Formats: sequence, C-alpha cells, structure tokens
Amino acid sequence: MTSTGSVGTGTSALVDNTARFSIVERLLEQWRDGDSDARDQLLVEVHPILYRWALANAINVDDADDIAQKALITVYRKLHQFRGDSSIAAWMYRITTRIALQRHRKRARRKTLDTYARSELGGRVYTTDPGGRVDRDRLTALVREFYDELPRQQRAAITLVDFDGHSPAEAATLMGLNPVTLRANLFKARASIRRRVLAIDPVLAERFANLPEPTDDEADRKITSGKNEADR
Amino acid sequence: MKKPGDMESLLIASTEELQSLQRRIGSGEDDDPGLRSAIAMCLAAHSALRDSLASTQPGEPTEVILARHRRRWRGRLFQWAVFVPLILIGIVLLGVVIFTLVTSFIWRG
Repeated sequence: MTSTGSVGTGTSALVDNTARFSIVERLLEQWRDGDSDARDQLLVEVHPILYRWALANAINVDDADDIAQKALITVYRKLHQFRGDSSIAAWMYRITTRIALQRHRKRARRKTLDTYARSELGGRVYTTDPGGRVDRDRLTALVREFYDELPRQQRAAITLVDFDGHSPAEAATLMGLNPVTLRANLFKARASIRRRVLAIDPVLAERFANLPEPTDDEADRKITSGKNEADR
Repeated sequence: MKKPGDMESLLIASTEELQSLQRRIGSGEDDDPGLRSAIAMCLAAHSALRDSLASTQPGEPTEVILARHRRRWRGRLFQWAVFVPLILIGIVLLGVVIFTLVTSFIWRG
C-alpha cells in the first residue's frame, strides 16, 4: 500500500497538517464513494499525527504508542459514524485525548506509579561541559526531557501550534479550549522550555533568570492586539 | 534597535518572531550579543525538539496494526459463528438426553 502523498516539512512546523488533512478528507470522500482501499490509506496518513497527539498526552513513548494504536483502531471502526459536524481533525483529536484520559484515570485508580526514567541530563551537561556550550545531541535530549515534563495541556498546545503548524485558533478549536486559555498554555510551555534551555548557559542563566512568567493577561492582550498569530 | 519588550518576548515569541528579532538586533547599532546568543539558543532548542519529535515514530507500521486488528476480529467472528452455535447445540442435546433418561426412568417406574 502506498501513501497518496508525502507532506513536506516546513521551516517551523513538523508537518503541514493542513495539507495532510486535505488528503485525508479526499480519501474519506473516496472511501464513502466505495473505494475500500481509501480507508487504509487514510489511516496510514493519520497514524503519525495521532501518534504525535498521543505523545503530547502520554507519560512516555510506550504509553503514546498504545494510545495511538487504540486511537487508530477507533478511527478505523467508527469512521462510518463521522458525520462531518466538526472537522475530521477535531474528531480524531477528541478520540485520541479521550483514550489518553481513560488511561490516565485507569492508572490513577490502580495507583501504580509509572516511573519514567529521567536521566538527570542537566547535571551531566554542567559537569562535562562547564563552558556552557551544549552540543546538538545533548541539547536535543535535554529539550526533549523539558518537553516531556510539561503539563499535558501545555504539551498539547505547543505540539499543535509550534510543531504541527496549526494556528492558535485552530489548536484552540481542536483542544476545545477558548483561545485565551490556549495561548496562556502555549506561552507557559514556550517560556518553561526556553527558561530551562537558557539556564544551561551560566551567563545567559544569570541574565535571563528574572524574566517574569507569562500570564493569562498577556495571552489576552496578544489576542486582542492587531498583530495576532491567531489570524494567521 | 532593541526595544524594551524584547527580553520578555524572548520567552513567549513564536519562532518567526524570534527570527525577526534576531535579524533586527543583529543589524541595529544597539547590538546585544547576550540577547543574540539567547535567541540563537532558543531557536536551536526549537529545531532540536522539532527534529526529535519528527524522529519519534510509531512503534509499529499502520499496516501491521490493522492486520492484527483484522485477525483478532476474524478470530472473534469465527468464535461466534462456529464455537458458540456448537456449544448451544451441545447444551440442547445434553438437555434432550437428560430429559429422555429421566422420562424413561419415570415411565419404567
């Protein structure tokens, strides 16, 4: 089976989801018109997206894999129930987050502690690289750790906007949040990661340590101001 | 020229905004090497995270997951179509045998 089209990587977005979902919508139409292979192709197209959404809602990579698989099967089984009241992306995002939440609740009920091995990379960077210059691999590992430690909603917000290429308005619709809350989560996620990244370099850490935390008012101001990412 | 809000926006700006800030600071008279290297570090972190997320792929290919799901469903379908009717027929036959035995004892008595 071949994918109907590969979607290019943008400068800041991981993939162009708009292009990918236009392919998905076309495949959905083909499937509804009786092309039975179109459903499989559609699932191949959406699987990486479901996986990334699952990553944003999971506690680790294995958890994300399980969530993405369940979401994929649910989409496969319930695709005929999709009426088009909302966008297909929003419908799939809801399926993925519902499965992730069910798993979180189940885990909380069992009271099992998922120990996600944290490797104390930050400490190692300081000891092996006192000058503060961090090579690419270590920076990647560190930033990935910072990302994994973000609260679920912040992780989802930064994934959808900064890496999936959705506008904040689209991301707010997908997540079922109002735009101000989405922006607040996005700013907090960016600030949290960047603050910790800057802390790697002792000179920058000293200079930027006292920058204020982003507030909800700031998100509100950005949304009501003319220069607005939500209008992209 | 560096503006008063540049330091604050460093933490929350989008990558496009960071890139334009980087260009503005680099070209102005009021060059700030510290802010410039902070922006460069934030951009490097963003691209590192983007590449890391891009390289994290699902554990199994879609086709394998779908094939396994279909196999399971075929198994369940087979179970319901063959085993369950067989068990039901067995129970009915057992009932008939027991009934016949009981009634034949009663008639003999």
